[in-house]
Amino acid sequence: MDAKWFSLQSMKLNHSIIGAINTVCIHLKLMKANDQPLKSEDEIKEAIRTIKIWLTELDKFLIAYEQNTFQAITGVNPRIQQFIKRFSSAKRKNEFRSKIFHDRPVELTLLLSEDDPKYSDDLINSLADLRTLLEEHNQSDFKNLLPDL
Amino acid sequence: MYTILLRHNTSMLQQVALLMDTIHSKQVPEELALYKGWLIRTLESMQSVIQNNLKAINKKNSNLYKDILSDTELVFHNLGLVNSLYVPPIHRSISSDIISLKLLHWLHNSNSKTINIPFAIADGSFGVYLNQRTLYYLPIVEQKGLLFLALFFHEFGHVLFAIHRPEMEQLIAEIQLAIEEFLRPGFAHNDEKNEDEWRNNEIIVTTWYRWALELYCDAVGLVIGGPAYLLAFSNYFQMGGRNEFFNNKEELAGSTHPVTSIRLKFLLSRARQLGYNEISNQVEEEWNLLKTSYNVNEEYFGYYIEEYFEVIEGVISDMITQSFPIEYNNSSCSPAVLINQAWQKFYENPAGYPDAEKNLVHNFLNSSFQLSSILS
Repeated sequence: MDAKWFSLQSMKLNHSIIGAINTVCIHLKLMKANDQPLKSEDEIKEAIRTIKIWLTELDKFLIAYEQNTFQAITGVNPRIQQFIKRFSSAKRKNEFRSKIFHDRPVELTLLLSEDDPKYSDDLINSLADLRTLLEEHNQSDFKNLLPDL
Repeated sequence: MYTILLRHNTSMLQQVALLMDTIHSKQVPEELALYKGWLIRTLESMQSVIQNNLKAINKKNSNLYKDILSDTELVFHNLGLVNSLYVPPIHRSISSDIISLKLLHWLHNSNSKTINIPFAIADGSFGVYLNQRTLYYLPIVEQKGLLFLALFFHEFGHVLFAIHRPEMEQLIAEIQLAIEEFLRPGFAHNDEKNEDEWRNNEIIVTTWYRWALELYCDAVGLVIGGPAYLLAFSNYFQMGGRNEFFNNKEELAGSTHPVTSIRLKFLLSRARQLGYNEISNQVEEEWNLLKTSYNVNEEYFGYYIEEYFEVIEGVISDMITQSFPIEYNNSSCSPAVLINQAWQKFYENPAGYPDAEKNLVHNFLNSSFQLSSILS
């Protein structure tokens, strides 16, 4: 057992969230363009559910971490812990401008529950920024598992 | 962007088809049937994602390209993993895997939660990769004999951990919080030294997530494999040199495994609780001789002190209770008993062991009716 195991676990989680974000973003953009959806209603609902669960978890860990950044987050896989630290640092350094990096992540779950199209730009931008961080994390897991040539 | 996305998705669809053909054309033993089935379903689902990407690309809506690019990257990563990690065990499948496969089949069937998890064997140093399936890594020499198959029992601990993850992580948090308490500075002084101390403690506590997991897996190995696990563990690490007793502070930070001497302390204690006193004394004596010979000072820089022992051992016991691995029973007929017999033969007469092992393997494979009854 080595660090690769943690990378594989981390990739599995990240893939499910990134995939869900892509599903929701494509759906919202097609709706805005009055175009036919590519995925079924059940698939969209499942994607929203996946993101909501993850945001709630992220929020919980983030609160614990930001209360005392010198303290370890206990009972958490080290790769998730690294993501929480990265998210918190991006927030602190204002690396992204979208809502999720200025409110608490859990606030985004409320937007995900809204059908009103006036919220869709906020939602798309927040999801896209969150995806950027997740992809960054995912790339490093992938490189750890399958190094470059 | 349209052209790039179209080209990559089209190419990946062809690669998936090629892998499908490769897997379909390969005959595998029945123990690998579940794994082969999982692999085919995985590739089918990949095909469906790519086809969905192609539909999205053909909408020619440039607002969607970032999202489709992201979906394409996901498939690229998955395909890379399937191609490099998950197909090779089917591609390499050889008849001499049979003992290892039967052992893993027995292990997975010993627990209602692992019975449907596909597994396979791959070449490499001991390890396990798991997700919805499990890949057990095993070096070539160890694949050919019985003795070190006992180390699979440790790897199976990782599978049990993954199944019981939420409860297990809560228990690991108990260990981490207890260690944090031990390390907490007596008084807080608001200066750089204090900050360094907090940072150092954070690294130690974080490292213990992995260490606790490995100590739990060692305990699982011992519970399932009995004395054979202790002997396999001890012999596997014994010639590793001074580093089995001592690592410097930088190496300890974020390390994936506790120093072997720490692991051995926990193993020996549990082995004695399980009644394996004689073999524990023998193993301990050998390691003490090595320690004297290396003249090494066991210093762990706060990563381990004797005061941690009781709380860690208690929580590891709770983790065992939570995951209930099958217990070693020398009066039954099982692969665990077979490996214990192998170690007994090896210790009785190391030079004559290869012939004794051949007999043990022959008898084991010819007693498939007994194995079937165990599995059922």
